[in-house]
Amino acid sequence: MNKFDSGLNLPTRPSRTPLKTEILWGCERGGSHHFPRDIGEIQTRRHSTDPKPLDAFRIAVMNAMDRVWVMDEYFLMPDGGTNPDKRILTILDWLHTDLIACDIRILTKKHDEIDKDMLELFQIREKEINAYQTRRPKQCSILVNTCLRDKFNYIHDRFAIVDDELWHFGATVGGFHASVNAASRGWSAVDSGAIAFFELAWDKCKER
Amino acid sequence: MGQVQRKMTMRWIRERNAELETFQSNHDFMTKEDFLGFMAQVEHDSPQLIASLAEELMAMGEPLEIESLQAFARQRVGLSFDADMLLTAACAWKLGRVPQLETWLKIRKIARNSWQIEHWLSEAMSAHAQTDADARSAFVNLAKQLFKALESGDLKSESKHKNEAREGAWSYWQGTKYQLEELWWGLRGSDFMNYEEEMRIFGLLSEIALEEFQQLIASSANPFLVSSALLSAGMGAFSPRFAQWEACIRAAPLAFAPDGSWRGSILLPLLLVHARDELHEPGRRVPIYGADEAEVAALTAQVNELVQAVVDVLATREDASAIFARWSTWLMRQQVLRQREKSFSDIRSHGYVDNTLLEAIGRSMQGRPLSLNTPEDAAPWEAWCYRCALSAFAHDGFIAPPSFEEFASQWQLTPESWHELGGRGLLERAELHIPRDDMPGLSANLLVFPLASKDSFASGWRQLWDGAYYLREVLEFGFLNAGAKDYSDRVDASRLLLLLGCMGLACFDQAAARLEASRKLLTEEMISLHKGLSQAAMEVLHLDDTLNRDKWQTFLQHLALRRVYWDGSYITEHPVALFDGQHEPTIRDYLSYFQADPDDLVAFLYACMLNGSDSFALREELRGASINLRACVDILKRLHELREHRYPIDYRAIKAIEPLMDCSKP
Repeated sequence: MNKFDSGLNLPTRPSRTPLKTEILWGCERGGSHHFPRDIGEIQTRRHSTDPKPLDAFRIAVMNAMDRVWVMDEYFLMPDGGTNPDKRILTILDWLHTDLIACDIRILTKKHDEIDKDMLELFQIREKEINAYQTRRPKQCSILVNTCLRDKFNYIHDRFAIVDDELWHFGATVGGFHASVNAASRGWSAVDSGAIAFFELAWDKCKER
Repeated sequence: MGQVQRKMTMRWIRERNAELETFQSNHDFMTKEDFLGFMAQVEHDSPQLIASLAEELMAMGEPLEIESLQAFARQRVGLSFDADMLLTAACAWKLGRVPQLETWLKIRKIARNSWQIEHWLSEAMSAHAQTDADARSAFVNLAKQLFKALESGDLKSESKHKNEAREGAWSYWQGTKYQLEELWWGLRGSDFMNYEEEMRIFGLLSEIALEEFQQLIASSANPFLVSSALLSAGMGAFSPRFAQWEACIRAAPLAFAPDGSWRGSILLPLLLVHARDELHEPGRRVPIYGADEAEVAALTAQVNELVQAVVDVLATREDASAIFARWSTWLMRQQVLRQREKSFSDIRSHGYVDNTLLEAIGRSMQGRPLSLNTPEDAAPWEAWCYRCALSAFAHDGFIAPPSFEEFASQWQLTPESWHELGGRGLLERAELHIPRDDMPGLSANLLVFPLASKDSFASGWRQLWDGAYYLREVLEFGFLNAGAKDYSDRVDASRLLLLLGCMGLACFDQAAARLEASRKLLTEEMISLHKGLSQAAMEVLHLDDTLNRDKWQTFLQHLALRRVYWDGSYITEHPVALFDGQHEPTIRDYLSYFQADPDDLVAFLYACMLNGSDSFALREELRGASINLRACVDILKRLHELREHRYPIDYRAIKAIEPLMDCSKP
């Protein structure tokens, strides 16, 4: 339909790794491919003061090559609103100084419990990454936008995109939630429209 | 005469197919004709029955439960008449005698308890209006009263949820800065069913007194109410009628001033939204793959005919030029936001309808007064979309290309203006046009078209690039006063520069398209432009360590591909060669750059093979550049084995470039 089409095309680049869909449940072993098997397992998780996140997601983020995009109002905020600094420190561990991905964006909502100094930790980590890897072809950028509720209050579920893979979470991104919840992975972020959707939400939340 | 006949019989495609649909054909729905027969029968058998039943209904206290009303009606008439029809006719009769808000409120309560009365009432009223002139006048008055009461907020819905939704939508509308844009979007988020209790009465009004219906909606400032009224009158999802739409377009008040500014009248934009929706509708019904080609061809031809009819109707209006200017700006916005589609050139293509509308509008713009700029009430994105629309019209030969100088001046920024109106305005206007995966892209092509159609486009682009020197300063050093937080400034600068680069690339492609006809004139310009573009890309790649860097790498691949494609030694398919082996940058220069990353080298060679490059010449070039392709591929494979995720490999590409490896064996 483009009347100016030159007819010359570059081939599309393949995705980094073949995507494989799977579903994972949060549990104190760092994730399971099965629902909790008994009430004891459910209760152990429920009463944990620090529910263990999904190892699979942690590993995916730590090994990300291009991007880590998170869209979740409660990503930085633990259940019950206590110890947000601990949650943030856990996430910062994932964004280690050897991280290769350069495009880290967290789209979340504002919480009174999370002050400016806590958010500033992400900027400090960004500087550490760039200082530690001085020969990076692209500087690492970590952006946290807390306007999701105010500027784009249309999202119910929670999503994350790691490189070209879309993750879908029934509760907090990363599997931090204490109640029974699951996440699925292995969806194409391009084909599903997740990348375009995230950019739409991000742009809306950027508007003044 | 033929054209008049064509217009008289013009119908939307859904309208043409209406007889195939089962809507309203079920036995539960009674039409106006059913009520005409029913009322005549009742009048014959039991004169005054409807009137007396109506009076008794009105005298009844609450709760008005339908079962008791039906039992009440049956008591009065036995089994000789349908109780629901009788109750509906009685309600219509009462409204015809006492067309007041109080009457309506009572009947609305009855209708709320009865599907039949709710859905049949307007049919019964229509039948009653046909046989009784006084009732007709009463219904007209009633509809006007209801509309005004809804508009003022005095008439509330029986549903609390609907009242809240109405208030929320109205509040959002009043707080919207660019209301015209909200209309173009089709009043997103609002629900026409918020006015469902009264909307059938407005449909009745349009049927029995079209002019008064038109006057009523023309005077309203409530787009949600007008939208519901239009829907009930055959301008929306239900039973759309082209004739009704055309009549309303002709009667709608002037929506735009000669300079293109919107006068605030909501009716005409809503009617345009409806027309576009109807034109898109057939494309939604056919499957993209596996469609009946004959059906698609027939529907596409019908859409083409309808597009022309829509534009012809609009062209008769006094504010036609301004309508075309503002609407084509919106249509162009849709076009530039779409990703490239190559598969179809018919209604299966998402951009087909908008593109056909733009072409028809362009044709109609010939000889009309043309506003060169967007008016003051326009949203920031409109300026460049309008420019793109004008370029599209010029490309099709309908108007002269717009001036390029004013556009170029917008890129000349200073340290002072970057964070002020100049820089922020440029970013706002450019936002929709920043290149994505599709390079150079439709936007870049249209924005640069006025320059590309000139003889000295290479120096013109060079001036544009040089004039934007401050963007390169920002990219390299950040904004002077940004302190440590200069990253987003640098990304913004890189994105804007990429748009300039893509405009240059588009300029090259447009010149290439006419190279065969004007070889002498264009050759030197294109070689010079290509050189300038590659220098620009290399300059940015030395500066850019932002997220946008990958796009610049892709941009360089595009340039390199064109260098090969238009080199006489490589391509035998097209008759005109642009470059010879010595023109800089040479293919060897590009190969030397890409070989630093085996992945980039493989991608480039794969692109060359896909686009028909001569493999013998490429092999020789690799040999000349001392590139051992097989060794490069082996490195890539080894890296991939070590860290699959970090070093992806495209085996399609490896297979495609296999013929280039033979000479590279050590």
